[in-house]
Parts: sequence; C-alpha cells; structure tokens
Amino acid sequence: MIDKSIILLIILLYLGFLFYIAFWAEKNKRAKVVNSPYAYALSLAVYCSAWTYYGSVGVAARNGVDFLTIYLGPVIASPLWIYLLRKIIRLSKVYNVSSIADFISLRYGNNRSVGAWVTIICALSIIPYIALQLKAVSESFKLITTSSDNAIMGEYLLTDTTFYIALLLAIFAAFYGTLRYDASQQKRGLFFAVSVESVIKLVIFLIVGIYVSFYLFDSPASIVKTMQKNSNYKELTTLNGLEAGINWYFTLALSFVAIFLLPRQFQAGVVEYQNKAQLHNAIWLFPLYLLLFNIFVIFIAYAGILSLGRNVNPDYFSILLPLENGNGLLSILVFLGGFSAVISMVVVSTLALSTMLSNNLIIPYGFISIFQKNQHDRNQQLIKNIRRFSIFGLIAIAYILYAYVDPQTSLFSIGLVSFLLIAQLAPSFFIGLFWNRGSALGAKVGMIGGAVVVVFNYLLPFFDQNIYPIDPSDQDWQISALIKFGFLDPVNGTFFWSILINSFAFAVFSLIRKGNYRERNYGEVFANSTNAIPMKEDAFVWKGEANVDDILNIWERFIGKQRAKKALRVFTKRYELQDEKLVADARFINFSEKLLTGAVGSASAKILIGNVVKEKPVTLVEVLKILEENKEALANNKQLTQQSRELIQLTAQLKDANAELKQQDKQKDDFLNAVAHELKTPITSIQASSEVLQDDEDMPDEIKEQFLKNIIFDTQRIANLINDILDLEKLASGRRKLELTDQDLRPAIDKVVNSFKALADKKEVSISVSADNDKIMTKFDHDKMLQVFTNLLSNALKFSPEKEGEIRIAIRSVSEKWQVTFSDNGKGVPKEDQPYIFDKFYQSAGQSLKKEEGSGFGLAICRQIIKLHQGDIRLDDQYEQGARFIVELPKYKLNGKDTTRG
Amino acid sequence: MFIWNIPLMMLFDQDIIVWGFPFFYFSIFLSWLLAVGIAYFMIKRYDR
Repeated sequence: MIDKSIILLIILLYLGFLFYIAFWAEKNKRAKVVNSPYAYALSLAVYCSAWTYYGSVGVAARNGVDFLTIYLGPVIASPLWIYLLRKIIRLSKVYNVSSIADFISLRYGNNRSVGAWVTIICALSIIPYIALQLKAVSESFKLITTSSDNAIMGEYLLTDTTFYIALLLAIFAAFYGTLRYDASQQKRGLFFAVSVESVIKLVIFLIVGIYVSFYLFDSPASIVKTMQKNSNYKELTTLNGLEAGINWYFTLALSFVAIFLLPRQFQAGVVEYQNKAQLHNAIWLFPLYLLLFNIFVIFIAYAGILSLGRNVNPDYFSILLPLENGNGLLSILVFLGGFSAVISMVVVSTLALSTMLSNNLIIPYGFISIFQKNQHDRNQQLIKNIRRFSIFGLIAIAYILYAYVDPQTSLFSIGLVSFLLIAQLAPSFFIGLFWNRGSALGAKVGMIGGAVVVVFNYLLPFFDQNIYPIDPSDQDWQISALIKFGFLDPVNGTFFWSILINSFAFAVFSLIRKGNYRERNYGEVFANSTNAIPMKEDAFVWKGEANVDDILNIWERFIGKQRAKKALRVFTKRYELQDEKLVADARFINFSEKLLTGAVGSASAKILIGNVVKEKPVTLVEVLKILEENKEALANNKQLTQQSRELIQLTAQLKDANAELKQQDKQKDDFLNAVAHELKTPITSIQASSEVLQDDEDMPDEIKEQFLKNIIFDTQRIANLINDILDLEKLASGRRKLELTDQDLRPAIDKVVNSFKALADKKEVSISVSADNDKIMTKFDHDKMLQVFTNLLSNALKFSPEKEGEIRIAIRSVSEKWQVTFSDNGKGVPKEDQPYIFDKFYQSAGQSLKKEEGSGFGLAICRQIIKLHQGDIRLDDQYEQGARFIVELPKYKLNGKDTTRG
Repeated sequence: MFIWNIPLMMLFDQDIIVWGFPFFYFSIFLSWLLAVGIAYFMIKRYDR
C-alpha cells in the first residue's frame, strides 16, 4: 500500500503536466508536431478509456474472448473511413458542424427537436460512461492506497478523493474546451494533450504486460500452459459454440457503429480533422494502436487468475499483480496509465456533450432570447458560460451516479449500456446519409423507440434491481416474451430488438409522413454530397423576404463587427457581388445559418435567422426542381470554365506555332542571305579575275596563272558550298540514307588522326587518342562518320595554339552509349555563342580566324549525321580549358552480343 | 466483417496453443496485424 498523499501529489503533478502540454500546444498551434497526422490518429485513441485499461482484463478473466469485440468493430470500420468518414467530415466542415447532434439535426433540416433528442440520448449514454471512469479511478485509488474513502453522498462527500479528481477534470475540460465560443473550431491544445496521454497509457500498459509475462512468469506461453490446467480454460479461450459466436458477432457490430457515433469520437475524428493525411494515417495507425493495447490482455488476465484467484475484482488485475508482488512503483505507473485514460475520456466526452447541451438543448429551448444586440462580447461569454456550466453539471451528475453504482458491477457492463444507447442514433445517422427521404419525424420516432427498448430492457434493470429483481448476466433474462430472442444475451438481444424497432419506425414514419422541404433539401445534400458540396450555398433552397441589415445585425450579435465584415467579404467575393447590391436570397440565408452554426448550433441558427425573415413555403417539387436547375447551372458553369480553359490553351498553342513560323521564316531569310553572301564573294572574285584576264592580253604568264588559280579555287569553293547545302538538305529531309554497318569505331578515328598528322606536326600540336575498350563496335556509316570526326578534329586543330596545342580524343563506354570526346586547349567557344554553334552559317562574332575553306555548315552537318545515327553531339559547357565536343553513339547488339565487349 | 465472420471464426475455435497464444486469439491477432499491414500499404500506394 502506498501513502494516499503521495498518490494525490502524483495526480496533481500529472494533471499539471497535461495542463502544460495543452498550454504549450495551444500557444504553438502551428507547430508541425501539433498538427501531425500521428497526433490526430493518437487522439482517436480517446476510444480507449478505463474500460479498455481495466475492463478488458476483467472480461478476458470472466468471459474470455468477448473483450475483443469492442476493438474489432473499429478495426473493421477503419477502412471504410476513406469513404464514409470522409463524407461525414466534408459535410461537417461545409456546414460548420460542431457535434453529432448538430450533424443529425442538420440532416433533418436543422430540426430543433431532432437535435434535442440526439443530445438526450447521448447524455443518457455518456453520463453512466463518465460514472464508470470515476468508478475506475476510485477503485484503483483505493487499491493502491491505504484510503477508505466512500463516495456515499452527504457527510463523506468532502473526504472522497474521487470528488476532487472529478472537480479537477471539470476545471481542465472547462478551461481548454471553451477557449473559443465557436465550437466548430479546433481545440489543438486539448487534443494534443489527449494524443500525448494516449501514448502514455499505451506504453504503461505494455510495460505491465511485459512485467507480468516475462518477470512474474517465464513467458506468455508458460502462463497459457499453466492456465490450461484451470477448469474454465476452454471457456476463456474459445467462442464456445455457434450461439456464443453469434452473440460475439452482434457485440462486434455494436462497437462498429459506436466508433462513428460516440460524441467523443465525433469530436476527435470529425471536428478536429484538418487534412487528408491525418485520415490516411489513422486508417492503419489506429487499428495498430488497438492491437498493441490488446496483445497482453489475456496474459495479464490469466496471470491474475493464477496468482490472485477469483475473489478479487479481475478488472484490477493489472494494478494488483505488481502490488501483490511488492512492485509499488509499477502499481503507481499502472494507476497513472488508468488515470490518463480516464482524463482524456472524461474531458473529451464532457466537452462534446456540453457543446451538444448548449447548442441543441439549452440555447434553442429557452436561452435564445438572452443574446443582446451589439453585445457580441457578452453574448460570446454567455455561450462559453453555458458550456462551462454544462461541463460541471455533467460531471456532477456522473459523480452522483458513480456514488450509487454497485462496486461489484463490471466496467464492461456499464460500457455496454453506453454503447447500446448510442447505437440508437445509427439508423437516422447512417441511413440518413444515403436515403434522401428519411424524415425528421421518422428519425425521432425511431430514436425514441429504440432508446425506450434499451432503457426498459437493460438500463433500468441494470441500475435498480428493485424494479427488475433479476440478474442481467443471467442468460435467460429477458423482460418480455414479445422481444425475447432465444440465444442472444441481454445486451445483444436488446441491441437487436432496439435497432430493429428503431430502423423500422424510421423507415415507416419517413414514408408515411414526408418531411418538409428543408428536410428534403438537406436529404438531397447529404445523399448526393459529391454533387451538393461543390454547389455550396446553391445547394440550399429558400423563398421569402428578408432585410440584409437585419441578418447582418444577427451576425454581429454573435461574431462581432470585425468578423462579420470579414465574412461578408468572403461571401461577396465568392459570388462576385457588390455590398450595395446584396440581397437576402437563398444563398445569403444559407451562408448566414452556416456562419452561426459554429457558435450556437444549426437549430438555433435556423431559429435566429427565421426570426428576421418571412419565409414562404416551398413545395417538394419546387425544391427538387430548383436543386436540379442549380446543379445544371453549376455543371454548365463548369463546362464553360473548362471550355474557356481549353480555348486559352489553344490560343497559346497558336501563338507558339505562329512564333515558330516567324522564326523559321527569319531563319530561311537568314539562310538565303548567308548563302547569297557566301556565293557572292567567290563569284565577285571570279568575275574580277576573268575581267582582268580579258582586258589585259599582255599580262605576264605568271600573273595570269595566279588569276586562273584564284578562279579555280573560288569555283571549287562555290562547288563545295553547293555540295554542302545539298548534303545538308538531303540529310535533313531523309533523302540521304546512311549505309549502316557493324564495325569498329577505333580505326575510323585513327584514320582521321593520321590524315591530320602532318598538319599537326607542322603546327607542333599533339594529338592523343585513348579508349577504355579494345573494340568499339557499333553501327555507323563509315564515310559520314569520317566527315564528322574530320570536322571536329579540323576545328580543334584550327583553334589550338601553335607549339603548345594539345588535342585529346577519348572513347568511353557510358551506360548504353559510346562517348567520343574531342578536347583542345584553345580559347574555347564564347558563352554567348554556345547555343548557336550547331546552326547553319554559324560564325562567331569573336572569331578572329576567318575560315578560308568550308562553308559554315560543318557543325550543322555533323549534328544531322549524328542525329541520323540516333546519337547526340554537343559542346561541353562545363569544360573551361578550351573546347570539348562530345559525340554519343548508341551501342547495338551484335548477333545477340553486347557491343561493349566487341 | 468478412474476415471475422462466424463460420470462418468457428474454424479457429480450437483448443490449441500457437506461439504461446490460444489458437483463437492467435488467429484474431494475426488477421488483425495483416489488416493493419494491408491498410498501410494500400494507403501509401494510394497517397502516391
């Protein structure tokens, strides 16, 4: 036993730590860690309350495999989140929904009474659940301390530690849960603290599992082997037949619906949602978290049975095992883990429920008139105070209930009461998401009918056995022959009948009495959310008269002048309107309702706006017609936008094509100019020489010969130029076919080098050739390749300095290509000329050496030849010691062999 | 729901121990882990 004051101090320190985490996260709400997808997935683990922490072990020890159903339901549900939860989230975000009551109320046309009934059912469901948490704290506290607290109301109240713990939890929830009046806004600080405590409780539970399995016993296998000798081992480790299996499956279905409907899960999963990555992460991380939480449950349960027997409450085996074995520190840790699970559940549940109470019950039923004009600060404070009051009220009622709960009642049983009640929202929630004809009346009758079955069939007998002096765990226990269902146990029998009656009533009443136009309007929006959400306010049908200023006054009353102005700007910008031309049409009314929903809930928003407008009835046919028209208008608009986008693209393409044509035209002109210029020079020279020869008959023979030589040289130059032009044209048009043969590239290079040897020696320029393969086998046209290499080597030689010149030719294998580089140590190619050197008639502005021979087509022809070889030729722009040309030629398979090896 | 349906589960409802786990628990935990793995890989692929 540990001293009570030490535990109290630890509790206070731990709460202080969580307060600090929440404070830090609230202050750093843009921090990456606070908004991490992992934090979101871990905050969903608020599902694992004291029921998981203590109750699972209790069930595993009492009933065997039943405890798994509570976790397998969410595991089955998680893949569906990608569609189902996403749909719920999208609708909630568009309409500023802040609770499940708001969501269901909105689906049925912002129906006030639907919201109120959902809230009542949630309160009935969650208050016993909170009582369960307090019971867990109280029991575990008693186990590890020398305390003899008793929660009986009256004289012992002030000495009961659980009372103070409940009070602290209420303060925590009231402080961090009501920082903002708009409940649809995220509470990053609070939920980050929930994520942190999710890690803490899991780690501690794993520690105790490892301690029990490997320290108290040799291994998990040894626990199970010892347990095999126990008389009820088979009962605890198998389904125990088909009937028990069906019961197992029913409980699994119950937890499947609960993960969507529990107010705290809606708060954590929907209201706190920020982006797609969070949901995607949660789909695998949350089931993994649950798996880790369950892996040691049976070993702790069996170890408890073997070590402690059946005279102690098995719910608390995890705390008793270390305690009985003298490990006080671990017991404190286990207590802290359980306390952690309690904190998050109580805080998030009371927060969610307080929002529902204020927005769906207190404000719309009585307090809506207390909000005054031009007093938005006061009004916001009032909203916050209503929620704070609700939080304290809820925890107080839960505390009273906890005081009356029989200490022997299992945590699992109380948890199932909660699940049974919350499941009554399932038909109106799930069916309403897909069936547009579901009406508010059907939803109410169904919910109430189902809840009545649960209350009379399970809840009352559970809490007051004086009314029904029967044992709920008795398999034969059923309240009437009418709803008796053979082999189903009380929980599953009640679940089956309540959901059956609920769904049947929902369907029948929805079909018998059709809902009003609003219900049908939102029915369409929810059922066809994919089409409706992009329509925004256009998905809402409304007819009537209203004054814009009256509505703006309501905005200001709740959100203040500044925010109202900002919201108006958003609205006018969205629909490209001007403030003075603003009319209170359907779009404006819907926008106003959505704006107020976060603060006062969807039902109150409708009432507030309804008070200042004169609404005209709209028939169902009109609703459908308007919606269809809006949908078509949106589709047409989309189509027009798409067409306009395509036209813009087409115009851009035409502009590009035009620019290219102009460029080609200019190139053609440049080309003709260049050809004319290149032809004119030798022709002028030939003409001049010929005229001189004709005019001066007495010219000496030597000079005459010189003139004739000039004529021959210039004629040759013209012939070369014409040949080059024809050659280039043939290559470019594809009329000149290459004669490709498999051969070695090296002899071709050597041949070119040898032909330049004499000239290089004369200029005292060295030429070296290196290759990393003996044979460079590839397919090429021998003559054309010689032309390329000759051109490159001739250029290199031309620009290499005399006496110091150095030309290096290197052949390498690079991936699937042969790379031949021609490097020289000349002055290189100026940066500004580099992009144009492969153009026809390129001649650098800075080129001082006028080409005596050649046509200016050399590199252009080279490029064309290499291109026809499926290769590439380029200038290495990184090479700074001179110029380096790189020729790349593909390797070809030669008779099935790689040409790399020749 | 499909994996953990009654007829299939009944096949695992045996009094055997596998790796220290009663066979029923073993089958549940293994399929659970597989479900997590499949969800993880599907999501990662879908995200890309």
